[in-house]
Amino acid sequence: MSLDDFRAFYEAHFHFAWRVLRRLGARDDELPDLLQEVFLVAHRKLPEFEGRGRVTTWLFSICHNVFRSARRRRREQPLAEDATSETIAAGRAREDVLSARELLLGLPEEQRIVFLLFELEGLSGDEIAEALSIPVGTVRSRLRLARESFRSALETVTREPTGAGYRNV
Amino acid sequence: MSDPKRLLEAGGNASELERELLAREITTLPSEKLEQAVWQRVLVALPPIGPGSPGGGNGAGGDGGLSGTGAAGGSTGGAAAGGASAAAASTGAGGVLVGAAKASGLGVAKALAIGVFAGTVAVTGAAELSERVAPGVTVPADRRESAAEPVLEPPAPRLRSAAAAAPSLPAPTLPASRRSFARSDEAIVPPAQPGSASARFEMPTSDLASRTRAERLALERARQALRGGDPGTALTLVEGASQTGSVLAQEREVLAIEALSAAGRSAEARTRARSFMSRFPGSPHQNHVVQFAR
Repeated sequence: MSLDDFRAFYEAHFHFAWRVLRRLGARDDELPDLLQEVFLVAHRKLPEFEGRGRVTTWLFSICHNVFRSARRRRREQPLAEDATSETIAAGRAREDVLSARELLLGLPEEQRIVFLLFELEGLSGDEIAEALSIPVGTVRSRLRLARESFRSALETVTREPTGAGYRNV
Repeated sequence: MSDPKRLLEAGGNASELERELLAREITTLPSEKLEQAVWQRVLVALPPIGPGSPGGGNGAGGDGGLSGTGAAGGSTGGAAAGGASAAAASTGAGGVLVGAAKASGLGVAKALAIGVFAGTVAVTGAAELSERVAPGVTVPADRRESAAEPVLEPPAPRLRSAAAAAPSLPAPTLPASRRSFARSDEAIVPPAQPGSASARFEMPTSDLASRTRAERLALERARQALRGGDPGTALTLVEGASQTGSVLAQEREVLAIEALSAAGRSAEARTRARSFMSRFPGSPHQNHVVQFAR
């Protein structure tokens, strides 16, 4: 692969890798290192990519593995932003909490991944099943649970006393 | 059994607030500074690059002779190199930087790349690198006032149609009462208006990097439109973003093929898929595209 080709690959997929990593829970200060590692791994493995699926599902797997490896190396580090109700109760500013990403980070990882790939990245159930090596039925059940969790988290936030203005949304 | 409708699709059964939050999330972009900085770090950590390489910058130069089979250095090495060169750059020791690079076996091109990265890092904090306000987005006055990030970008491409909310993908504009939802450092790509023939980019500059960014933004909007069940708009955006010799040519073609197929224009999709396969024989998209060529 020429440098031009790899640059094109980078240009085409940098945003995707950035979105996936931050939605998996990478902190802003981790992103440069993680993104660098993702594209170095991708560069190393691109010649072996057989194109059985979409490039994005393949790249997602690299992002996920890089993120998990980083988490193992820094096990003491929490996720980027803990958006649990406990954190809210501890007095975090509401505007910092009420984003889809913050809500997503409060979901169990397996639900979060299915939600972000299906709802935010537009992958099909079959593609997600392939990326995660799980049956498509499992993808759909995780998606259903993820939606419930997402809505529940959103309701929790909007029910907070200081969120009175958002109750009727 | 088919997939359920996505929450952002028409009939996706999402509340207004859910749609706002999700629409905002899918249109958030990284900063261009982060993209450039990471590219410099990747370039530094790649296997040795020949003297004909572009050595960083926008990467628009010729083939640097990258083998593609060597072992990647990993983030630690790249970060260390970046840190070391940042120190060199901060003392103005450009000659030392190149000399040290030669002594350590790095090519001069890579050393220059390190220097560019160091210069970027020297003026940029990690948080500042993260997100940006996207071009063509009207930022409410209250957000502009609170935005800490200095404007460092060249003239940006402008979106012609960003005002109306799409039924299947609402624009992430927030009522005044909810502007506190929006962080001041987020970037947003306005969704395309379904069926709008004017949903394409203006290219106000001939600068290659700006054109590439504009094309990529157009392709992301096209992908959103396709995801939202509007292949016609997706196709308009793809064709409007077309550039000769673009580094995103493969991505553009794949998206066009998918949009043609989704629009029921199977014969055109097939023709274009076959053309793609002959134009880009080593593409990682080959096995995805082949399904449309049959």
